[in-house]
Amino acid sequence: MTSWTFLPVALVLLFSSTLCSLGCDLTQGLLEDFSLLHQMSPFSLGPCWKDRTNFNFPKEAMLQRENGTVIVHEMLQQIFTIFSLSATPAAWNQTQLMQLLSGLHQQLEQLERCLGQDVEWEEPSLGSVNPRLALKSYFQGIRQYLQGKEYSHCAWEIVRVEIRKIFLFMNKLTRNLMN
Amino acid sequence: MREGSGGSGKGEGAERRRLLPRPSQPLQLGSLPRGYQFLPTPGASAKEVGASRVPALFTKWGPRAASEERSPLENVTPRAVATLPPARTMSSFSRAAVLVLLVASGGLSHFSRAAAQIGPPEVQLEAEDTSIIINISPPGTINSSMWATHFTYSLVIWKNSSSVEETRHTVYSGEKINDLLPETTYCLKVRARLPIQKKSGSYSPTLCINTTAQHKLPRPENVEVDAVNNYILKWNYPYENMNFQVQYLLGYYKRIPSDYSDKWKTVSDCKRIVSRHCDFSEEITTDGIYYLRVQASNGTITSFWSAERKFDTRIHTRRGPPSIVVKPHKDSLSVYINVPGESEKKPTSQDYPLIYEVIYWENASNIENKMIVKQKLFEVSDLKPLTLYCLKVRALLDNEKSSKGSQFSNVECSKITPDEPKKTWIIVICFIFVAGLIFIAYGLKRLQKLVKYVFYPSCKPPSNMDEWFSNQPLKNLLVTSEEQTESCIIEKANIIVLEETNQNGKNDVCNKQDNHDSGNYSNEDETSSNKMTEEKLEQETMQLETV
Repeated sequence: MTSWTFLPVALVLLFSSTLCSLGCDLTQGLLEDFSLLHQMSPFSLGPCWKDRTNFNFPKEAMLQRENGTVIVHEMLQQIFTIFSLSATPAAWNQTQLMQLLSGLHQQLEQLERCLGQDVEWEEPSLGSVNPRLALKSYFQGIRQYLQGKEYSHCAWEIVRVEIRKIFLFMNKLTRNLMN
Repeated sequence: MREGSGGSGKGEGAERRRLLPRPSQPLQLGSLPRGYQFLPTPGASAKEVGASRVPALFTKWGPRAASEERSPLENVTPRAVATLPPARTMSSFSRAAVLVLLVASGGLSHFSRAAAQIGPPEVQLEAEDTSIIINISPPGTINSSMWATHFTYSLVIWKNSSSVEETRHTVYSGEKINDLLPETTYCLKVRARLPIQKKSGSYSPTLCINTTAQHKLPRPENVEVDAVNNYILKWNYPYENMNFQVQYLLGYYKRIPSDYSDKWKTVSDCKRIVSRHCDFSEEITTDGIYYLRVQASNGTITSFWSAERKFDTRIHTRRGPPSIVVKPHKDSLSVYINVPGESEKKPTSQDYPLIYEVIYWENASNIENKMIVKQKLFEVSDLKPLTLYCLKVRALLDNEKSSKGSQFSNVECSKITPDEPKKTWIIVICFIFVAGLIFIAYGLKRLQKLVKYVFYPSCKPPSNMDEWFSNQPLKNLLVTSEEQTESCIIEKANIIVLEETNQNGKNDVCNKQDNHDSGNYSNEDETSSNKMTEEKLEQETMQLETV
C-alpha cells in the first residue's frame, strides 16, 4: 500500500476521531496500530505472492451491526496473539513490534474496562452465526497457515497484508458505531 | 441421562465421518445450540487429529469433569463434534435430526441455561512472608490456548482460621496477593472469567498454603508514581543505609499466557540507589502500560519485591499546569482553560476525561470557593459587580484511582465590570454610520456631477467635433467661439468702457454671438461675418491674456 493511498485513509480517520466522544473510541489507536504494522517489515510482498491464500474472512458474520465493540475486542485480541508469537521474523523492527503489542494491550484493557460497564452481551439466537466463534475459527486458520509454512517470512508477509485488511475493516466498523 | 445419549452414538457415529471436517480446513463452528453446555476435560491428552480436534476447553455436558475418569479425547470427540454441526457438511434434515436427539437426550431442564460453562483453571502457589504469588494456567491444556481466549481470573481468599472471605477480581497469572500476615495459613480458590461476555467458570479446588516467617527486611511500601515533569517512582522505607533496585515490566507480557518472570528489566539508573525515588523516564520509550517494583537490600540480604505499581502512560501523562483566559461580564466571569499537550496525538479526554478544579476568591477576602467543571469553557456566576476576583485552575482525572492533579495554573485576576462589549459595539456602529454618511455624500456628489453633465452640459464642444472640422479656420472658429464667449464677456466690460469713447459694431457682434451660442455651430450665415471680426478678437484676447 503506497503512502499516497494511505494518506486519505489517515485523514478520514483523523477527522472521524475528533467527532467521536464515546469512552470506547479506539479510532486513534487503530490508526497507529495500522501505521506500525505497515512499517515494521523490511520485506516486500512481491516475491511472496506465490504463497498467497484465501483465509475466508467471515464477512456474513460481521454484518451484524450490534455488538460491534465486542467484535473489535475479539479481533484485537486475536491479532495480539498472532504478533506475540515468538516466531515473528527477527528482521522486523523490534521496537515497532513492541509498540504495536503495547498499543494493542492498552486498547484491549480500555475496551475491557469500557465494555465492563455495559449490559451483558447476549448470546446470539439459535441458527444465527456467532460472529465471535466465526472470528476465532478464521484466526485459527491464519495461525495454522503460519505453522504450515513454518513461519517463513513470506508467510508472515501474506499474514501482514491480511491483518491490515482487518484493521481497515475495524476502522469502518468503529466509524459506523460512532454514527 | 447423559450416558443414554451414548446409546445413540451409533447414529452419531455414522454422522461422525461427515461431521469431522477435513484436517486441512480450519474448523468451522456453527452456532451453539441453545441450552447446550460444555465442560472441559482437564485430563484430555494433547494428541489429537490435526485441525479437527475440538478445543479441550469445551466438551459435551456431562457429569462433573473432575470426578469422572476421562478416557482419551477420542471418546469424547464424536459427541462433542456431534453438537457442532458445521453448516456446510450437514443437510438440514440431518441437522434437525441431531437437534431432536439432543433435545431428547438433554431434557428440558438443562436447556434453561444458555451459557457454556468454563472449567476450573490450574493453580500453583508460592508463599512469601506477607504475600502469596499465584501462577494460573488457563482452563484446559496449554495447547488449547490456540483459540486465543483471553481469560482474567478472580479469586476468593480467606484465612484458614476465620471464615472472612475476600474476593479479588481481574487477577492476572503471576500476580501477588499482598498485605497478608506472616506464618498464617491462607486458602483460596480461583476461577476463570471471560471479561467481555462476563461469564465466569467454575472454581478450582481449594488450595491452602502457609505464609513464611517474617523476613528480616521489610519490603518497600507506598510505591507511587509521580508524573508531573518526569516519571518518578517513590516509596517509603523504615530503615536507613539501604540500597534499592527498581525493575519495570512491559504490561503486555501479562496478556501472553506464558511465564513473564524473566521479562522484568532493571531501570538502568536505579540499580543500587540510596534515595527513595527513581527517575525511570528513560525506560519509557513506548506508550503503554508498565508495571514497576522495588526491592531493598543492605548488602547481604535482599527483601522481597514490593507490590507492583501499574503505570499507564495515558493516565499519568506528564502534564504541565493549565493556563486560563478570563473575561469579565456584568456579574460573571467567563473562563477558558487551555491544557498544554492535550491536542497532541493521544488526547486524554477521549477515555480518561479531564475535569478541572477551579478555585476563586475575592481579592479582598481570603475565602476560597471551589468548583469542579467538566468543560474547558465555563462561567463563574453570581459575582458581585465591581469587585476584583482571582482564579486558579488545575486539571484532574475523572477517575477514582488517580487523585493526582496537575499543578495549579497561574492566578488570574479580573474585575467585574458592566458589559464592555456593548460600548465597543456602539462605537463601532457610530463609526460605520459616519463612514457611511461620508460615502453617501461622496456618492451624491458624484451623482450630481453626472446629472449635471447629462442634463446641463457645459459649453465645451464634444471632442470629436475636432475631426469633423479639419479646416484650420473653422477649427479656429470652434476654438475661439468659446474664447469668444469669454472674451465677449470680457469684451463686454471693455466695450462698455470703450462705448463711451468709440462706438463700433462689436457690441452687436458680441450680443449676437452671446445669444446664439449653440447656434454658432449650425449657423452658416454668421460665419462669414464672424470671420472678419475674428482676427480682431483674437488679437484682443491675446492682449488680455498677456495682461
